[in-house]
Amino acid sequence: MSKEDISRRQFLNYTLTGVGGFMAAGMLMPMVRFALDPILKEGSDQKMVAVTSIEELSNEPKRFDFKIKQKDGWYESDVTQSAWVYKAKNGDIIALSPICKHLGCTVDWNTDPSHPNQFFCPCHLGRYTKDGTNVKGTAPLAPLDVYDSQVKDGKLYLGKAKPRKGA
Amino acid sequence: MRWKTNDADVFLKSGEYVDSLLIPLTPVDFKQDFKSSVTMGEYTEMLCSEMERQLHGRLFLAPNFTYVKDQAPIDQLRSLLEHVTNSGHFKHIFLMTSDVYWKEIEHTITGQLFWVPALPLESMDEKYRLEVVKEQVKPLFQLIFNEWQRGINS
Repeated sequence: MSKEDISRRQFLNYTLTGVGGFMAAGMLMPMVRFALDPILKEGSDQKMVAVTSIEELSNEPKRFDFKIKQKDGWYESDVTQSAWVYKAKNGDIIALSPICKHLGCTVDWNTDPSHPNQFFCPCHLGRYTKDGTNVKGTAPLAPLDVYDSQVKDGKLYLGKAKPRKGA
Repeated sequence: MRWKTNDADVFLKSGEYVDSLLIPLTPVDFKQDFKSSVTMGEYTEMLCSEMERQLHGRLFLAPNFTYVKDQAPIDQLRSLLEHVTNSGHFKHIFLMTSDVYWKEIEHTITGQLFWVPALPLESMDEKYRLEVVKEQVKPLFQLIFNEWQRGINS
């Protein structure tokens, strides 16, 4: 017998541990996946949508419409969303949701002649300043939501609209 | 607001802010005018949902008022409008249709009628279609705002 030879007992030991290990791993892996699944899922769920090229943006808020896919049970539909986008003085790009925080109408920019340079909601005369802060004494009680935004290859991508604290 | 349970809950809570009702009038025909009645219904629906989207907090979009084409049940519409008025929820009633029939008898019904001839949008590019709908509803918004303004002044 050369020194690399192993005994029948050793050989069986190695094989059985090896096969057993594989089987245990095969059973445990799906369980671990299940346990971690919610963590792995997040992040990949939130898709950013290309809305416009950044050359079109200026200091004046401009309205852009874009479509997102919305799932309602088995029914998938395209939903139109809008955003008011402008460049702030320091160069930041601000994308505000046009949904009024009062009852959900769509606000317009600079359409109320007596209050220029404000967002104006035609339904219940709500007003917001340029940065989306609600004007005290008007109907809405919170500032406009802000979209998650990202600039990539000269294009503006928007994600989810996030609420802010009230003024 | 739409004819949905979630919106109904908001309506029950903040009903005093929702004082306008929009009723689409859509003809149904499965004989010779089948295709044109579908076009009308589709177009009316597109305009109505865009208007609802922009005026969500004050305009309630009612379910379609459907009828057999050329047999419009004027009495039924009248009793619906009467019911709406008597409910006390709505100060302003708007009717939207592509069927020219209603234009003729506009003056005999309460509520403001928007008669918009249907455009065949199905052959259009998605983006272009959105533009057209937006342009089409713009003057209608003006009419609604004027009506609201009259409500404040009177």
